Amino acid sequence: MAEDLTRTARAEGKPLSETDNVDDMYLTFALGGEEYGVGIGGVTEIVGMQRIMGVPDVPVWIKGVINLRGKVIPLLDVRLRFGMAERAYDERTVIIVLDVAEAPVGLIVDGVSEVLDIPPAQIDRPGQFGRGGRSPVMGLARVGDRVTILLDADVLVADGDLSLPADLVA
Amino acid sequence: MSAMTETGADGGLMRVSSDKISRLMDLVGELSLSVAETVHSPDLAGLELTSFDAAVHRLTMIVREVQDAATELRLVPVEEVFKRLRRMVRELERQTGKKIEMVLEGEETAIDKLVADQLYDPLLHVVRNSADHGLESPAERLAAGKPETGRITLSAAQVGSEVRITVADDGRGLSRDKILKRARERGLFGPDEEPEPSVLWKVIFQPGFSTAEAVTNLSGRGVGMDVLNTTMTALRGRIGVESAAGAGSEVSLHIPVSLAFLDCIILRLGQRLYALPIDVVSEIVQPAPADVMGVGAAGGSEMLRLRGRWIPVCRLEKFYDEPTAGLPPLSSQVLAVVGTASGAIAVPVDEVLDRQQVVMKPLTGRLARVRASWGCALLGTGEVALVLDGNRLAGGGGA
Repeated sequence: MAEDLTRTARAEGKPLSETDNVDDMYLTFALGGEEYGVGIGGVTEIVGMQRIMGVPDVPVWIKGVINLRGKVIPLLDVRLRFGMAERAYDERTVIIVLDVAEAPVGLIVDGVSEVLDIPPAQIDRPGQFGRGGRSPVMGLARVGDRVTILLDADVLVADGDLSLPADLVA
Repeated sequence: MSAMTETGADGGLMRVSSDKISRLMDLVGELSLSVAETVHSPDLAGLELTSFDAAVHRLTMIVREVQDAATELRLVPVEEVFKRLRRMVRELERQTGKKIEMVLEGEETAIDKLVADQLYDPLLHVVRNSADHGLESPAERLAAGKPETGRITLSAAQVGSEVRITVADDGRGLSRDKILKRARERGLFGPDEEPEPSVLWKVIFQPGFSTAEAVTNLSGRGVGMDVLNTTMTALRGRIGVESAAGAGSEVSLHIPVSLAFLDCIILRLGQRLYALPIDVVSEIVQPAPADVMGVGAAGGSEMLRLRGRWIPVCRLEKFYDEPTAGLPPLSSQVLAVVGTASGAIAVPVDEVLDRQQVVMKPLTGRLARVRASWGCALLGTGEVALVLDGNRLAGGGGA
C-alpha cells in the first residue's frame, strides 16, 4: 500500500516537495461510486483487511477490533456509518488507521485511491448539509473535473446521528 | 533520560526513567505475543515436532520469567504513600481535636508504580472518613470504656496476585439505621428490604451518598467516596467494608499487583471472545435442565441452582442488548460462576477455551464506553478478548 501514498497526484501540477503543507493533503478513498477524502495528518497507516474480532456494546457501524502489532484498534465501517448498503469485503477493501483525539480508529473503505494536495481555494464549504445532526462533510473539493467529498474524522467517529445530503447516500 | 548509576553506598541502585520501563513492558508484551503466534502457527499443524516442542516449552518458561522480571521492575513499596497519609493524620488530629494513633503495617509490600501513584487520593478519603466519622471524640470514647486515643491501622499485604490495603479504625462503626434510612430515601432499597450488612455498607460508596449530619471541612460531602470508586474501577480493584457497631469499621481495597498482565479464563460466546480474571471464577458448571429456571416475574430472568442455592444468570447477549434470534437453552451451555460484590452470578457461554496470562490493553476511543469491562486482553493466539468485570455485570445494564 505504500506506493499508493507516494503515487501522489498533484492537483495543480506542483511537485509535492514544494507544497509540503500536510494540512492541505488528503487521502482519498472510494465508497460506492463516490470519492471521499480525509486529512492525511491523522492517518498513521493503511493496512489490508484482516481478522476482525467482534465486541459487544458498540453501534452497528463499529465492526469490531483488530490486533495491529499489539495495538487494539476499533474498526468503523464507513458505509454503515453513512447508512449505505453493506458490501462484502474483498481484496480491495482496506483499513485506514488514523488517530482521532489521540485514540486510534480504523476506517473500513472500499479501497484507497491516492494522496491529493488540495489548497483551501479549491474547497467549497457549504454552510450546512442536510438537517439536524452534525455533518461529517467538511467540504467539497474540486479536483480537475471530479469532486471529492472531504470528511471530518472527529464527526465521523463521534456517536451522534449524521446528517447527509440525500444525493450523497448511495 | 539516560540511566544514572549511583555506585557505592546504595549497593549499586540505578535510577531508570519510567518511560524506559514502560517501553520494556510493551516490548515484553509484544515478545510474548509473537512467541505464542510462532508456536501456534497453523503451518505447524499436524507435524511431529518432538524437539521443537521441548524448545517451545523452554522458550515459554523464559518468556514468562522475563515477563515477571519486567513486571517487578515497576514495583515499589507502598511505604511512600503510607507515610504521606501519616503526615495527613497529624493534620487531622489538629483539625478535629481527636487523639489519633496511626499504625502502619506491611509498608514494604510492593505494588506497580502506576497503581501507587493513584492510591494516595482514594486512601486519603478513606482515612479522613475514619478520622472524622469513625473515631469518637476523646470524651465519647472514655464514656464508652475505650482508650482516649483512637487508632487507625493502615496495612498492606500481598494475597495471591492482589495487594490488599486495609484502613481499620476502632471507632463507633457504621450505623445500620442511619445508612439504611438514607439508602431507602434514595430509593436504593425498598422500605421493607433488609439487605445483608456487606451489601448495605457498599452504598456508602455511591456517588453523593453521605449520612454525615453536618458537612464538615473534612468529609461528609459524599465526594470522596466517589473518587475512591472511580479510582478503584480504573485500577481493576474491589472495595470491601466490614463494620461492627461500637467496635469500628474496616475498609479494604483489593488491587492487582500489576496492571500489565492478568491471569484469565478465556470464554467463547458465539463469535465473541471474553475473558474473566481467574480469581473471580469460582467454578465452571454444566447445568442439568432441572437446575435452571426462568423467572417470568423478573422480566424473564433466569436462575441457576448451585448446590441447593439459586443464583442469578447473567446472559451477556441480554446485558449488552444484542439482537439475537432466540437464546440457546442454558442446559446446552456452560456457565462460569463469578464471585461479585453482590453475590455469585452465572455467566453462560458456549465454550471455555483456555486459561492463560493475557496482556491487558486499555479500552480507547469508542471502546471506552463498552460497559462492564476492564479492557481488552491480547491472547497468545493474537486474538482479542473483552475482559469482563463481574461486579458491573451483576449490577445490571445501567451505566
